[in-house]
Amino acid sequence: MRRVTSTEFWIGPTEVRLTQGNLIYVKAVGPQNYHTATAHIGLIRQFYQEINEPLNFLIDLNEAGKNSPEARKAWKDVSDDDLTCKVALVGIHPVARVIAGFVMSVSVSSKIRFFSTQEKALKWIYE
Amino acid sequence: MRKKSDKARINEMLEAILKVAQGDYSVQIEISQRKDLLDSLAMGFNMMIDDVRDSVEIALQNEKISQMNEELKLAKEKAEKSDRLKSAFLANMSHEIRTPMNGILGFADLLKKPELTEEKQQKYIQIIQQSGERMLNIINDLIEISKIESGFMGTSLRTANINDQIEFIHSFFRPEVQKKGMQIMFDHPLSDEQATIITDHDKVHAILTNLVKNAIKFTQTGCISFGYHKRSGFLQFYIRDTGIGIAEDNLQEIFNRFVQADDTISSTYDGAGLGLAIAKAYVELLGGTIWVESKINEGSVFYFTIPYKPAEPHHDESDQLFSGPEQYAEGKKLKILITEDNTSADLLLTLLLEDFAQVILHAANGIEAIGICRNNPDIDLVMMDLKMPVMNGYDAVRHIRELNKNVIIIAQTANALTGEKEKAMNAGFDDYITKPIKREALITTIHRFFNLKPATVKQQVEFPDIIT
Repeated sequence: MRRVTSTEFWIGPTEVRLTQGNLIYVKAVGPQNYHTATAHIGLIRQFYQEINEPLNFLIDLNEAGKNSPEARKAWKDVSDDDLTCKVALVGIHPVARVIAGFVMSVSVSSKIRFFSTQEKALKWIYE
Repeated sequence: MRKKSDKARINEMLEAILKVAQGDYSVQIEISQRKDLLDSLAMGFNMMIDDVRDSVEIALQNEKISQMNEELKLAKEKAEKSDRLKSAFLANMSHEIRTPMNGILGFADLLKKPELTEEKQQKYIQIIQQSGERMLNIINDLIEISKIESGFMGTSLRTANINDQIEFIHSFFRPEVQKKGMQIMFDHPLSDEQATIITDHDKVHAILTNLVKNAIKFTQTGCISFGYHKRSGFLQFYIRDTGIGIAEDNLQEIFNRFVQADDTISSTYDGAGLGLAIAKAYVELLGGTIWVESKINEGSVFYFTIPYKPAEPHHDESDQLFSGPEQYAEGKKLKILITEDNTSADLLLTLLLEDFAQVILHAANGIEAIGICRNNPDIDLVMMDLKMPVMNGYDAVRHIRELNKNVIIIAQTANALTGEKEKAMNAGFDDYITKPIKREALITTIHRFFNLKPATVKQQVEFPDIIT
């Protein structure tokens, strides 16, 4: 994991950034496996501790690769956390939609949804 | 790089599906950069494969966990049963030890009465002796099972005539069987030459004795027969009785230690429940197997096998008398040193030996024994306890041997563990005798070295009244 600023991190090719309004933006790039999932969880827990307020997630899946079962389990844990407000998965093409379908299938929470554009996702997050 | 056609990509998916159908969950479909519907199908397929593989692995792990749970459950049941058996064993052992102790202490007390008739005295002494024998049997069984469990039990292979053993056991038990109004029969189909094999004589004897004794114990009417048949490479022994029989559920368990066929048996019949466990261990040490066939109220047949290894004809050394430095004529009396720290054991030996003795000297430890031997080079026999204060018997015998190479030194010890005899012989003893010392065994041992005529010996030792 590489720290660029106090709010911007890179886990391999994936960018994780804390933006205004307690929104964590994740641009997932390439395959997501156990190791990347562990790094994500670690970083998110760090955000929880520092902010100690509910967080929203905007996860861009347009360049994401396959999500392993362990990676999906990690996102389930994030979405089930009490400090997680909403998790929006975004993807414009069918591959992203399939990945999102698998990620969402592991969680029964209504806090996680898929959108084809960032605008729609942000609208749902802040509504 | 040339782009694959959609047909090729669909074919690739079909190939992958066929591999999965054959159980290959490592297959994955290549995702292009087009991010189109076919890519989404491929991605979905790849992720489904991962899920299926995980499910299969979880199912396998669950199966293993269930299997382990089942094994743990069985182990727990076994441990609980073992615990119950041990508790039952302790209760039974307490009874087994207290009963003869009651006989020994109770009748020893009664013997103090001055007005007792000679007849009553003899009767009481007989009861004390029988009770002592019973105690000794229990202790021997406990020692044997301890040796077996600690892995110290070995075999001592030598030539043994199986026919002789069968006949001896038949003669030994016939009076007891006849007293119960039953018959005992034997069968040894091989000639004496064919029946002379290489095996552990004492263990075969112990197995047969144990099984025949059991047959007698659990049979009230009918008959007992035993013998053997030659099978390929093995002798298969059988011990058949018409006794109470064993329930099918208990057929395997009766060979476990502390087990009698059921709980009611131990309250009806004497015994520590170790005999069959010892017999099984002996049979297995000899390279054989043991099993039982039985029907309730009809009787049982115990079988066991031992490897059949015919022996070369030989001359049995044990038939020869010891040819010592001096031949002792009938009536010649011995100069004897008893080395023993326990006063009652010293008294017992004195009483047992006084009719052979011209003089009996006494030492309470190894140092005293060396001094007496130095001052009395004409000592014929030293009876040496092994475990003594100041200097033990092993060290003492080494020093005495430097002074006198010809004196006969016999070790006597309450330690009857395997290897003790070999250790004593290597230290310089001429022979070894275990406590409690039996009159017959002591006489036989002395007779070996001093060539005293049996008639004389018998006449000499018949009368001592020995109480320790």
